[in-house]
Amino acid sequence: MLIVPLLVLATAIDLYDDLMLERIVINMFVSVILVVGLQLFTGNSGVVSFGHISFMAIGAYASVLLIMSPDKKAYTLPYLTGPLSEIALPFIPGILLAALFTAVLAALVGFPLMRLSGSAATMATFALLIITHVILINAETYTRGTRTMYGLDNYTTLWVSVFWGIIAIIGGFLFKESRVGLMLRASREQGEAAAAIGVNIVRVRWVAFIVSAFICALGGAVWAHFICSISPYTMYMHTTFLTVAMLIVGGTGSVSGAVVGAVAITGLFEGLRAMEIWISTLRIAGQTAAGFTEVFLGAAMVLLMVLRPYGLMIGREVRLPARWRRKLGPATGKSAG
Amino acid sequence: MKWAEIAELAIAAVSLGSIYALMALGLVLVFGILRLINFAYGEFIMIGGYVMWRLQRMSIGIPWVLEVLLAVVMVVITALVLERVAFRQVRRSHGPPINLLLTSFACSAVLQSLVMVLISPRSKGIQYPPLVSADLTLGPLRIAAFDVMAMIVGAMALVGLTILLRKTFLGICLRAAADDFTMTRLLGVQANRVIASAFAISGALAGISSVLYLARIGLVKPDIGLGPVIIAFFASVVGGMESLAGAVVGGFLLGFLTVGLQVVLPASLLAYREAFTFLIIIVVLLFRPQGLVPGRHMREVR
Repeated sequence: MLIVPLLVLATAIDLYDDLMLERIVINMFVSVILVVGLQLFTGNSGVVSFGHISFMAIGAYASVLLIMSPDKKAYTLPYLTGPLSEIALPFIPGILLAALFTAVLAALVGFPLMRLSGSAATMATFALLIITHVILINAETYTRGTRTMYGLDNYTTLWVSVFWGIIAIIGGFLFKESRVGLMLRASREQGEAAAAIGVNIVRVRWVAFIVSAFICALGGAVWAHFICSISPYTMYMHTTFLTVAMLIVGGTGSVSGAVVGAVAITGLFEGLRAMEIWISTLRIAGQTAAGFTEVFLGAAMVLLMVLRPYGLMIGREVRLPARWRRKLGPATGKSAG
Repeated sequence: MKWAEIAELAIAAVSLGSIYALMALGLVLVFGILRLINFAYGEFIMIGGYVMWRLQRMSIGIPWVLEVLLAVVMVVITALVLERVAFRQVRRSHGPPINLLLTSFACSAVLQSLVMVLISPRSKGIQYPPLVSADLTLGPLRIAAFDVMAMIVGAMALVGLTILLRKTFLGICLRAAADDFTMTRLLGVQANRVIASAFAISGALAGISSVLYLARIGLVKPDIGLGPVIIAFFASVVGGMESLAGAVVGGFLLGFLTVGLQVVLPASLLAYREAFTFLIIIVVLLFRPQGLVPGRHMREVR
């Protein structure tokens, strides 16, 4: 499975002990969580969502409110009163509860939204992103508004991010192979036919929306306790575009595609950035190459889409070799993505 | 509220609406044929602004009208180059439709960072001639001149576009391609040419709306396109992605919503104005997923 090379990479980074590299890899694993969360909805249902980063943001802020110690809250969020100002959960229950809260919100919001499909659904999720952003900016009591929220404790070490990344990947696989996942993929391929054999498309989409919101919120919470200072602007358009890009570059059809996309784009981005710094130190004709990373990243994305239109993984999964899989019995079914 | 105030607000709403309608039209033209929601559209608007700024900085006394014309031409060229370099290549690789969307993200990011690197991440001021930036007094009414300009130019562009689409051969090809692209190609219309001209017209509309939109702000910065492009999306989606009339309807609806909510909402909720606007849009979409003006050929767009 795909988890093995990720574990190898994490171990190697752990042994190499380079702070910069470690931060990059933690960021990558957070991206893996987010992209897998997005894939769970977009890949299986075929509806492109621009709204999932709002779940990341809600998850991040909710986890901060639940986890931060009361005396720190008195400093960063002076207007906060009631039980929220006194609560201070440990890390794991905190982020799980934050993700659960986000999932409940997603359930409420998703209930009407899931009746839409096609570009109307995409635009509605996009509207959701903007609405969430506006609310986060203006709910100053809970979020400090436009100002950065700081003073978070750093809980997310390398292995914490690896752990949650792998949990997300397993979750993505299990959902895809589950009954609901299968029904959802059927509705993606042929909506009418799926409905005719009794799939309630709106319901299965809704379930996927909630589960994927949960995963994205987890990603947001893990990320918040890694970066230690968050603001609504860091979880908005740019993150959305990057996450969607990772998913498409990897291939929407499979969880492996999501993972590969996250790894590939992170690698490409960091590689370009390292090159940019290197070229800048050379100072060719007194010019710095600052800012060209994004330009080349965009060009590389277009090139990738021309060369691999169905993504790097073409909707396939990285699986155990068939010989070993048969020994495990029929539990791991066949899937064409 | 006095009637004069109401009239002033109505004029503001109509002028804003006509700018939004132009933007939405540019998007829908391309969407109708390619099924592409072009995210790089905002960067077209940004480029229009930068061309004007650049020409003004050369200070060789180019007449303002020529400045505007050059801005529009540059935007059209940008649109054509993007179509040729990026969109056409991706289209040829026959991937899923979402690839075109990502391509437009990529183009948007590339153009933004290019401007940031080559010019400056800071905002630059654009001057408009006194005729445009003045206030007109009409009896009890005080009207900003650029509102009048927006209405006149908007109406002219709409009429021009209608004539182009109804009376010329190219227009007929474009409309046919928007209705049924496969059939149009079978009848011998060249796909590349139709798509390129759709991009060109879309670019021209973006250029015109860029001049009108930036007149309200008076400056240009690398991420200036984000606001307009979001508005244009929602205008076109609410109006109906399948019809050009829908884009106009959606644009005016958004113009009225923006101005209307500004007046109706109490001061404490004013900060949430955008949230309300998009909430209303979601509600409209829930009841009319195909938009207010559905196209003649109902299709599920994936």
